[in-house]
Amino acid sequence: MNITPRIRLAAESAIDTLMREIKGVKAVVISTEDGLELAARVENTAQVARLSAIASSLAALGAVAGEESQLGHCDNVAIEATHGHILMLQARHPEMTLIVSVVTSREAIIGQVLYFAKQATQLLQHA
Amino acid sequence: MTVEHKILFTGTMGAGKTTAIAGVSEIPPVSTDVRNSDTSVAKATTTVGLDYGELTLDNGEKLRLYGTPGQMRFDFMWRILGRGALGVVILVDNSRPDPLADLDIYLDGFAELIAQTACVVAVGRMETHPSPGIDAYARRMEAKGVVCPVLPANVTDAQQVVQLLELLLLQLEV
Repeated sequence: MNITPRIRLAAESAIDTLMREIKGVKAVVISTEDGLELAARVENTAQVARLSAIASSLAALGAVAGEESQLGHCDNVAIEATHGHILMLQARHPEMTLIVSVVTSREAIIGQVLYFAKQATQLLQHA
Repeated sequence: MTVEHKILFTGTMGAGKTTAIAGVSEIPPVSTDVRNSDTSVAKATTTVGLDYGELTLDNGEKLRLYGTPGQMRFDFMWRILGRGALGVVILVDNSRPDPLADLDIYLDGFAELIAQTACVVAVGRMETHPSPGIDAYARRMEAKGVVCPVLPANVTDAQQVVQLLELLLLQLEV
């Protein structure tokens, strides 16, 4: 995996911000669009590889859904589960597309998660 | 009423799953290819979700063709896509370092589906990489208790892909 140090640093910085700002955050994973982990903050490392691959598939399926419905690009996929939320956002950096996945508990406010995740994604896109 | 079957294409990254489906599909195929960042494989893009295409056979039966991602990290998609499938075509790339071990991955990953339905193993790039031969594949499958046809195939040739599908359906009639 060829990742420039600048992007790697920006990914680490985005994770720091999201872990700090989002109430109820459980994990943040940044991965390549083909599902390889770039950076993560979560206790269970096995879960990171899994989440990277799942985020990759979901982002790709979201992209197809958007195109087939003539709605344009898929910017994010949100999942509301019994015990929390998962938000996956695409960061389209000129060198490569990355996927930012944020896993939160139920106490997180989805609007707040979306706000901070979008901000972090934009910074990552311009790194 | 039109008879419809769900057929799965699986196999290693670069074996030709996307190409096979795109080559025979009568609708614009659905593809979820993205840029490949795995530098150990010299391939520009890779499927991360699924491929989808449709084909109507001469007898009027309609096939819904699904392609899986090849890499094991996407095995959750294998399980999702395998649900309700009538059979699976496993594509193996004979130019890879250990294609028999590759075959094992998919025989194991789809063991339940293969035991309940039908399977065809198609070995690609045999013209440039003749070893291991078809016999070696047959022995490997026999050792795992899998009985299904194994044959060389070039999936860039749509005719050969249709033949693979017909061979798969033939097993279900036996």
